[in-house]
Amino acid sequence: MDKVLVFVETKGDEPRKASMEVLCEAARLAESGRFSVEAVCLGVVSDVLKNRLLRCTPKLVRLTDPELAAYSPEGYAHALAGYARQIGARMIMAGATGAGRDFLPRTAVILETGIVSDVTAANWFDDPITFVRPMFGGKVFAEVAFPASPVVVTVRPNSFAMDMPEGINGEYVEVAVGLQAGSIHTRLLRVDDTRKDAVDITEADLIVAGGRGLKAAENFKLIEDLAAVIGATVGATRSVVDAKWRDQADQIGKSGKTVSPKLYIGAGISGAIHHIMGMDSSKVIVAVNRDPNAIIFNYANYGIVGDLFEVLPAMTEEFKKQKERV
Amino acid sequence: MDKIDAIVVGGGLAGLSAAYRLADAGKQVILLERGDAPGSKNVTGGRIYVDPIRSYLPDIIGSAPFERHVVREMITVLDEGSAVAFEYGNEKWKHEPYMSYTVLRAKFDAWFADQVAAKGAFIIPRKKVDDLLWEDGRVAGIRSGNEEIGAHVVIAADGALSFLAQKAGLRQHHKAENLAVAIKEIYQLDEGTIEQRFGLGPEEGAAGLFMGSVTGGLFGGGFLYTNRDTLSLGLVVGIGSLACSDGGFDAPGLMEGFVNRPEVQRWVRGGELREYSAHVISEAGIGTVPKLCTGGMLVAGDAAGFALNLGLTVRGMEFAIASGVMAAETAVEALDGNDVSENFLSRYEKKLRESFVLPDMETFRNSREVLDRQRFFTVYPRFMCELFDELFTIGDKPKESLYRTAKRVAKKYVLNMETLKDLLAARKL
Amino acid sequence: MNILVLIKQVPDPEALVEIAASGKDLNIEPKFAINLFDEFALEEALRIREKHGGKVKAISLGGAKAIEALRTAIAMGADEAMLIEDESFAGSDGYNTALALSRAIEKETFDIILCGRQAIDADRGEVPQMVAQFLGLPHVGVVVKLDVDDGKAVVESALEGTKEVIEVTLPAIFTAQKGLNEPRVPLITGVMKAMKVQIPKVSVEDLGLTKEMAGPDGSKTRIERYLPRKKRPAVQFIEGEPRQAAAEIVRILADVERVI
Ligand SMILES: Cc1cc2nc3c(=O)[nH]c(=O)nc-3n(C[C@H](O)[C@H](O)[C@H](O)COP(=O)(O)OP(=O)(O)OC[C@H]3O[C@@H](n4cnc5c(N)ncnc54)[C@H](O)[C@@H]3O)c2cc1C
Ligand SMILES: Cc1cc2nc3c(=O)[nH]c(=O)nc-3n(C[C@H](O)[C@H](O)[C@H](O)COP(=O)(O)OP(=O)(O)OC[C@H]3O[C@@H](n4cnc5c(N)ncnc54)[C@H](O)[C@@H]3O)c2cc1C
Ligand SMILES: Nc1ncnc2c1ncn2[C@@H]1O[C@H](COP(=O)(O)O)[C@@H](O)[C@H]1O
Repeated sequence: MDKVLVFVETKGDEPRKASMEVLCEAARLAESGRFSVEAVCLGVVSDVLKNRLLRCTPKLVRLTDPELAAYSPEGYAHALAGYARQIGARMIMAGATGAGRDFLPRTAVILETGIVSDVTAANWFDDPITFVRPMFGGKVFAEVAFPASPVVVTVRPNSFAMDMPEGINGEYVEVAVGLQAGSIHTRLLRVDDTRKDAVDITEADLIVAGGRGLKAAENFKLIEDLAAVIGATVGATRSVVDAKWRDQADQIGKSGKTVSPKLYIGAGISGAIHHIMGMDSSKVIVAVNRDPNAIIFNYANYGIVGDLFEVLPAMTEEFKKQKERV
Repeated sequence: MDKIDAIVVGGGLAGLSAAYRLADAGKQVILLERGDAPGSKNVTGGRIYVDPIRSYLPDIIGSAPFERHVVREMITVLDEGSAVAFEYGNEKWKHEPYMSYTVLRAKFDAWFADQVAAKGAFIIPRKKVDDLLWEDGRVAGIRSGNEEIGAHVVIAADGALSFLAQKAGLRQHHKAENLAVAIKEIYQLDEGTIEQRFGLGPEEGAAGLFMGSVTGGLFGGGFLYTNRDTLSLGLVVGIGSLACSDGGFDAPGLMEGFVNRPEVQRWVRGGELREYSAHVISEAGIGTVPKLCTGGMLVAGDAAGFALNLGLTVRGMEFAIASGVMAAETAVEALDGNDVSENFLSRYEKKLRESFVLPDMETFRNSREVLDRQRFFTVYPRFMCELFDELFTIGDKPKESLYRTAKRVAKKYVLNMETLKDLLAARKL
Repeated sequence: MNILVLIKQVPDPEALVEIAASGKDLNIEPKFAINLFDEFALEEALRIREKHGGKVKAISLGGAKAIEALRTAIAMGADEAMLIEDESFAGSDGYNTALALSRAIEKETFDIILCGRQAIDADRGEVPQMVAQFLGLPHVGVVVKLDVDDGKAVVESALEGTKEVIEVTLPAIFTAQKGLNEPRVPLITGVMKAMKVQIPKVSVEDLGLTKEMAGPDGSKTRIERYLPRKKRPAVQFIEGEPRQAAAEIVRILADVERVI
């Protein structure tokens, strides 16, 4: 049976959502009988996390080399490639998180193979298997086959459904891959973690984004209030980031981040193609703009033509009421 | 100051033509364009007549990527809810040499720019010229941002609002009544559909003009050109008449109304909107042509006011190309003779006089005055539509004779002193 | 400080991209630009040179037209440029592109390689890391601040939204993210110089590689076909006063779409 190795990225006691989505997809695959699945964590894994993961995968492997305590592309790439080689993995999958996209290309090179980055779907039952990935900011999609072996893919967050498999009670194994001393040339000095609890925008289920229509930095409060009620992450357009109303990390679009939440609400955003490229794969898009001809309406499921200074507070109120009802 | 031979300001047809000719003569030339690329900021309805300019740029005109040669003219007179349409075709237009082509400037200018670069000129986009440099009372180069570049000759080809011609004191500030605004949209449709819909053969094109209630009675009209796999559709409206019209002015609204007319929809239906642009046209005819040169500087194309807006058609591209070439030729002679004084450069004006450019401008000098008569855009279109309406309507009342109908409708609209004045004025056209 | 900058020429962000009737190719409007993120990389290289001295060399792998991107790099201030000219390699997968680039880089002396975070055509974001692995060099991705000092660099990476401050020994590879700097507009004199410069070209054969590597048989991954973007149904406008509209949209999101 072909072995699938899923890299599970963790953050404290939490697995990254993108990793869990891939793990769930792999579990479904395993049911088809063609694949066997192993999950692999690098570095430190708490007991809480371990127990949680063992309910989702038949086998959880922790690579124990001390160099893996902090993320480094070299260390992670070598460790994952080393283990994959050891078990003869046929496929390596990971969430297309920052780290996933950063080090898996190196893993691929070590294994003398290629990578398909940021896939949004897979045709598992086609021969050959193909992966679907957006190009040109989502203007087109490509179906990519993988003649080489092993297959290495990173999967865009929110692409695979997260329905937990049932009845799994996996085994836990610790392995040292034996990273060579001096093989890591980067050293993490510190993390300026300005937003510790915030969900990374690329993984967010719900996003409320604001544009220049908000007129001033302080008015982003309207966006934040709405986001807080529904537990959404705040996003922004480039104009807003360039004006220093929001941090670069919040920028959605061609020169910012690509997001694919279940719900994207955008207010005071004109819908320039560069912004659309970063959010067009959202499942439901709601746009608030006072200009009925704003381009963003061409890409939205629902539109409200109106003044955001009235509409946003009203929506916040209504969401509050709705939360109280349920 | 270190000087290069020539700087051309503006990457429209006038600027590209000038740079091409200068480079061809072995002169060191740079062309500065404020847009992302030559052609990126240009708006043209989309029809070029090639006969007048063939001799100026034979290599370019002979192999340019034009869209379709025009074999059919269509004029549609619109009233609220009704329209009269005319069509004119001529077999001889179907044979080479073709008289006119439809053209997409983004494509044509990009191609032209490649030819200019291949001749050895430097084309530098994203450079806005901010000022002129002077030396001994003559233009001696340009300033762009923090950079000062010296040149023996500057050719200003910076379009209808030419800021350089003003800077050099060659022209006054623009008067609003001398300008028109134009809105243009490009719709994508496949080649086969276009040919079928317009009844055209491969490579053949049609040109359509619209007048009457499209502009809400304002000075102006609409146009439609068939390109290879797109349609160019637009409106031209005089700013002067906008200012006079009451109730403000909503150009996008006018455009929307125009596009949604069934007489327009029949052509563009199903097409996907690809581009939208708006631009200013100087349309006053020779009345606004500035002084054409000063020491060290020549003005060409729209910057020199070389464009004719006859309400229905705009002609500017031929003038831009021919004047660009003549400005460059004058510059080459001046460089060779080491004399860039105003006196020497005034040969440019002589060349223009001997060419079609100034004579054509002269012929149409008075057209503006005639066309300004609003009645051309209100009363006459209505007259035509109503006449046809009466002709084709059979109601419950007995039908009048044709002659009586015509006379009655004519009396209502056109048999009066005003019309007589218009008619007298129209002799100037 | 010798710095190499990897520059890719990509279709202009505004260029129309359409799928050919066969479904196997793309028809892309022939408007080109330097990859957005590579401009940040180049700008940073120029700033490091201005501070520490040395040379900046721009390298691109692409078709003959990619020479324009390199000319732009020289116009902006790069000292040298080199084109690895091969049309087929330009369209090949990340692995082969990185292999070819790393072969060329092996012949250079350098302290730093700067790349873009991602090329905006294929949106892969993998070539720099792969080059790093081929060369056995460290890399730091998605860099928003870069300080070089005495055989090492201290950089800020925005890989995960947070800012991580990382120290790395040189030579190393960095991928530039927006926010790193504001790229300069070339001077007119710079452009005039760039137009005259001879830019050397090397073929992939010169690098000991074969053209076949880039073809379908030689690539590790292969694009089978292209699919259009899924079109959303036409927008549904929610009418009414702000209050009513807000209530209605909340109802739809909760009960119809079930996304909250
Ligand atoms: C190469 C390149 C890359 C780019 N990358 C990105 C990118 O990654 N992300 C990005 O976002 N942009 C990007 N841009 C910029 C992009 O082109 C737009 O300029 C930008 O997205 C516009 O931001 P905006 O919608 O906030 O502002 P605007 O376009 O100014 O729109 C503001 C909107 O607010 C509306 N509005 C105003 N007041 C109100 C009110 N009271 N109530 C309701 N509505 C109101 C207006 O009708 C208008 O539609 C890029 C541009 C380029 C050239
Ligand atoms: C809607 C419309 C329809 C038309 N239809 C037709 C038609 O069917 N047939 C026809 O023959 N003519 C037509 N014309 C007229 C024709 O388009 C113009 O006469 C012609 O394009 C003029 O060319 P030009 O090179 O003089 O100016 P432009 O094409 O306007 O070029 C000027 C260039 O200079 C640049 N520039 C300006 N200032 C600076 C600066 N300070 N620094 C650097 N660069 C600068 C601009 O960006 C621009 O690219 C039409 C015009 C319009 C607007
Ligand atoms: N063909 C190429 N030539 C030069 N540099 C490249 C090429 N392809 C990718 N790169 C570099 O790698 C970065 C990321 O590209 P990619 O991995 O293709 O998204 C780019 O921003 C460039 O710096």
